[in-house]
Amino acid sequence: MSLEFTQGQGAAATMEPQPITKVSIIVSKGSLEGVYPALIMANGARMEGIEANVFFTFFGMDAINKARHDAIKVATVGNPGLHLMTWLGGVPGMSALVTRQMMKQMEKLDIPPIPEFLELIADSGGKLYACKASVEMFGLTKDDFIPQVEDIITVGDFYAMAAGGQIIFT
Amino acid sequence: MRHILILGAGTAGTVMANRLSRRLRSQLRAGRVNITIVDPDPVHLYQPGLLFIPFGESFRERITRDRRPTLDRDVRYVASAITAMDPDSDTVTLADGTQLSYDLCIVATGARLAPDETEGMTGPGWRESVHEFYSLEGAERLGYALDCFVGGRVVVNVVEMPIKCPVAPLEFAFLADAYFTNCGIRDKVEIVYATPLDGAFTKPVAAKSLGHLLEEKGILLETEFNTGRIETQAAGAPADEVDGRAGALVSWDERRIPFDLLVTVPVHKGAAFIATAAGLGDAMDFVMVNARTLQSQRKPNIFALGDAANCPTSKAGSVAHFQAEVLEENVVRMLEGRALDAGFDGHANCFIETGHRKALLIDFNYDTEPLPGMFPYAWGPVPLLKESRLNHLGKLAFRHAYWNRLLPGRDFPGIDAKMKRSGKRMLQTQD
Amino acid sequence: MTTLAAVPRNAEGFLERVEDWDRGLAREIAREAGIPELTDRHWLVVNYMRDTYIATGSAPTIRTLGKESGVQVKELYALFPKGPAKLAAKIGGIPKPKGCI
Repeated sequence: MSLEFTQGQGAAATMEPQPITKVSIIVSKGSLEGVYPALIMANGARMEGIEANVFFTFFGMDAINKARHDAIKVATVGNPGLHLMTWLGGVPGMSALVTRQMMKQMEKLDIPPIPEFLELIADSGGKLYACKASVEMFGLTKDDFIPQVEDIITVGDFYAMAAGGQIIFT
Repeated sequence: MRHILILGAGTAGTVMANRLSRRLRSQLRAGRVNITIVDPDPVHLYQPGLLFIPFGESFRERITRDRRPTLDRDVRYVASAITAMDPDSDTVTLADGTQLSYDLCIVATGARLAPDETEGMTGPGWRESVHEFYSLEGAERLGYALDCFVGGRVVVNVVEMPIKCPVAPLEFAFLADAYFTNCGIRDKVEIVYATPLDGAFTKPVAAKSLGHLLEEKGILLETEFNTGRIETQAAGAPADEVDGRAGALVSWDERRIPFDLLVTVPVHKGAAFIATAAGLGDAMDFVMVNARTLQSQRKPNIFALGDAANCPTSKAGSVAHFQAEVLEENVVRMLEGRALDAGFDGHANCFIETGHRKALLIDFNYDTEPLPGMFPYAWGPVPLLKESRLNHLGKLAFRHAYWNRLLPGRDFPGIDAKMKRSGKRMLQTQD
Repeated sequence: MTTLAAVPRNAEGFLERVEDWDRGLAREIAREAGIPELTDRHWLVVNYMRDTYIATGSAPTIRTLGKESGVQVKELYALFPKGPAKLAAKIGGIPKPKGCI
């Protein structure tokens, strides 16, 4: 007995992929290589006219913390992607050196340092938020953050805001 | 049955036809009079709109309308060209050979462009680097040329007077300055205004009030420049063959102005058929009329108004409007055998676009030059001889007023055929 | 003398040939994209994009655009909604910018 699945096939053949209109990006890590992908995604979204919300949580909050956001470093230990021997990666100053090298490369490609990048994203209409739970855990207030941060919101607020769009976790 | 024949259905002809229809309505309906108007073009062109087409601020559909609806229903419209006129037999011959007889003829055939009168104008550069904006085709082609212009010298010139709307070439220079500034390439463009007159504004008070405009906008002025010929590079020749540019404007006394783009106002002449009626037109085929009654000097039953007449005032739409008020009265008097009213005083008024959404208004006649003050009343609302944004809105509102008030032959409250002195700051000697 | 219909464009509406461009086309492309009129601020950006592409072979990044064109990022997004780098490139007759920034 053969079953006809023509309807399913037909539907798949004629449906166009719907364009993405909104992304909500979570930034959970505080290393250079942990923050940048999220920022590139956020800026890229804005350049395509896609609405972008960026939600900083845990160590990701360092990126929006006035006291720390211009000192974010590459993790040189426990970072297999770097292909650096653990003992070398642990040498004092190695992280700063690798970070400097990487920042030079990025400057050549016209990718801005994190503080400037966040300004760019905010000026482009991207919205920045801090996670309430993390804020309380680290004992921070809105004053600790850069002025571009819209608000401190809960995870529930985040889910409401992300509704109807795509969520990207970094 | 008296036949009134109007030649030409531009602004002047249309206004006359509509005014006379209204004035003679009962006679028209009773079959004692008929009004016929002849014009080969079934489309009415709002000429003041041509200035904006090269800059992309207006377009063909906005400034043209079907002619028939602009004419009163009791006017008979013949869509034909006129090839000859014979005042002795009171007849006019059309292109297909038909002859029309008249008891009274009003010549309103306007002024036509005669680019061939200037050596080299219609040569290889015509509508490539040499342009005019006094026709639809010319204005549109100039628009394309401006869109591609990336830098160099733009020369705006008037070959000789009289021309329609004498301020238009100056307005073009002002708008070009604004256009290139807006596109961000003004520093790569040099704008030169060349005129046969001895100044951009010939009347002293206007020259004093407005002379600064050219300097402010960085427009270079070349006066007393009478164009003798235009030299352009041959087709396929290198782009800098003539004096390092696309062409050169050369005066009779061999002064040369090389240009990359020339916006010229060609010689104007009256309609060609006027030359077939000996004694009717002058050397440039404009009908010779009494400047105040508008009656021709050739024969009492021929009148002329608008650009077709040789009145010593500007060739402008406002003049046609004011003349029509006087001529309407004179046609009626003529039909009734009464003496004519020498009522036309040369009244003209003009909006001058100065760029960047500003404009100014001037008001003058045969005896009085443009003066500062307020218009049309002493309290305003419109200032004279002063730039303002209000005036620009006035020009746009005028397009609406043109189709809906002026063409149907209606008057404007507060604005009379005769220029008003009230509101103007007259010079000491004139009071 | 060209109109947009006569000029070859790719599937996204970018000009196939950079040299086909003139300001009339720029205005038409802008209107197509929902920008009814190009102000002097728009032209500053469009000219900068095109000049940079012609001089260096690639379009400026949004960061450079915001810093060097004379128009800052916030205004860029106001003038060219939905992506100034892409839209200004299209209006300026240069290819779609490659690259992530």
